[in-house]
Amino acid sequence: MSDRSSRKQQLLKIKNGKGVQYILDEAYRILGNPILIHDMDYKIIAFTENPVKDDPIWNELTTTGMIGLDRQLFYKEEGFFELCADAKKITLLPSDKLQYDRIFGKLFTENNIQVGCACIHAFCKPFESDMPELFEMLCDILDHEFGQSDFYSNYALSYMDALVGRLIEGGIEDKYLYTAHIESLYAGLKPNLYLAVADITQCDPAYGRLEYFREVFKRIRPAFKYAIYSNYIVIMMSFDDKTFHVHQELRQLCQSFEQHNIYAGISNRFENIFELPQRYDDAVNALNDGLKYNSCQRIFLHGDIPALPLDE
Amino acid sequence: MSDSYDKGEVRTKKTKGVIATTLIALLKHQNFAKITVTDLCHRAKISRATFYTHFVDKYDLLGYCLKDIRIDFPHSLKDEPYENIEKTVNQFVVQYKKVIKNIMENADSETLGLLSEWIICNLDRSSPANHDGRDRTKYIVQSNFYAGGLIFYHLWQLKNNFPENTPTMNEHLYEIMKIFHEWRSETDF
Repeated sequence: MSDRSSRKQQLLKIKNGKGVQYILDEAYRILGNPILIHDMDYKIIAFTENPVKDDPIWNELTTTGMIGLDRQLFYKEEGFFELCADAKKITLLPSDKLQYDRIFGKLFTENNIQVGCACIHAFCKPFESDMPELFEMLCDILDHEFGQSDFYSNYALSYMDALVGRLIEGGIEDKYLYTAHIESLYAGLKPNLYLAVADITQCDPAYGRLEYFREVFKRIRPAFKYAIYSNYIVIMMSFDDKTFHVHQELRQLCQSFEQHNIYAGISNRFENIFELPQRYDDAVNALNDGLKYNSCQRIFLHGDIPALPLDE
Repeated sequence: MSDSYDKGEVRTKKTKGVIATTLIALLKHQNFAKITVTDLCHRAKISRATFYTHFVDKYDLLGYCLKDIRIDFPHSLKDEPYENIEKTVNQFVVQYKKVIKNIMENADSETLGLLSEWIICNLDRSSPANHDGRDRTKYIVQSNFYAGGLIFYHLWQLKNNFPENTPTMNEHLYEIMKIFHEWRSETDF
């Protein structure tokens, strides 16, 4: 058996369920180069041993636990964030910018929510031609491990809540620094986006049930993305076509809303996630105006609300 | 510090250039109205996040592309900006027939606004140095008049697959411009 196919076989034999650190240690033994995993905030999750001591980025991550702002600005200037965002799964960062070659891979939990990145470094030996393929296999194994873990699934969801909140509040001043983060929000979404806000305050008992209903909605429509912001469940919906029919496309969600006495407002169509603050306002206005003028429905579309209220 | 700043600028310009080139390539075969950001990203091999980091939407990108496409007015236009403009614009439209046709066909108001801005911008470049006060108002009125007229005239030409040849087009436009020039001198803005 050739060395290549043997390494492939060995990778396939790594079993899930023993933890991320176990998978990394096994992969290090098979692939022969140090690997680390960091989350979306560039904080370290796990790393293997490393016999080479002269890489400043590895040293920074493994000693301080995170990549500092200076390093992030360097990544931004070199266009690494865009490179990572543009790749579907794997990105090769060549050594002309950094001392050693390295390959990045995106790691996702279930529902296409990115939890972080894995990175293999050519510290011990140069990458062979099959390394991208092997590393992609490793990333798939790690995806499965993260997907099985409630801890990491919730960890990724919390990060998404924070990112959506930051976007809605207009807290992202440097778009370039966030390119990879924003792309993680687009992952799995179709081109035409709509933002919905679901209000559960009419539901009895409503207190503390945002997480519960997010889970309920996620099971009904797993392709949408759900975040919790300001007492609402913010739903990022996406469709292939520019128009959609609420009663056809959202039938099951509507039934769930009916069952639990939940109301929702939906924004107009948009494509650019940086428009989230306006779309969030649209959805909240649609919900509030809908409740005021037409409470016999469950879902209110922003485009359907009259520009001037009829009684004024 | 300034060195790294420049590096970032160069990279941004490069990415924007790739996206703009992709749009122009797509415009040779496809209507602007039908081009989507997803098509562009797919063709340019970039992510949606990268596109929206650089541009607000596809209209913003078209505006960026138009900024780089310059109508080269002859030197004599520096003295009299509207003299022979019809010939220059006609030549330009005929030269870039496919791209212009794909931008104009089924164009919405936003696209037409961008085209109008682009023509006015090109007129600005070739007009005499400073316009101020009453002259400035007169200049703006004239520029808008020319831009709107030229766009809709060429829209008609493109829709009907150029029923007139270039010399006839020039002749017609010349007649219109002459009337406008006469009216302009009579009314005294």
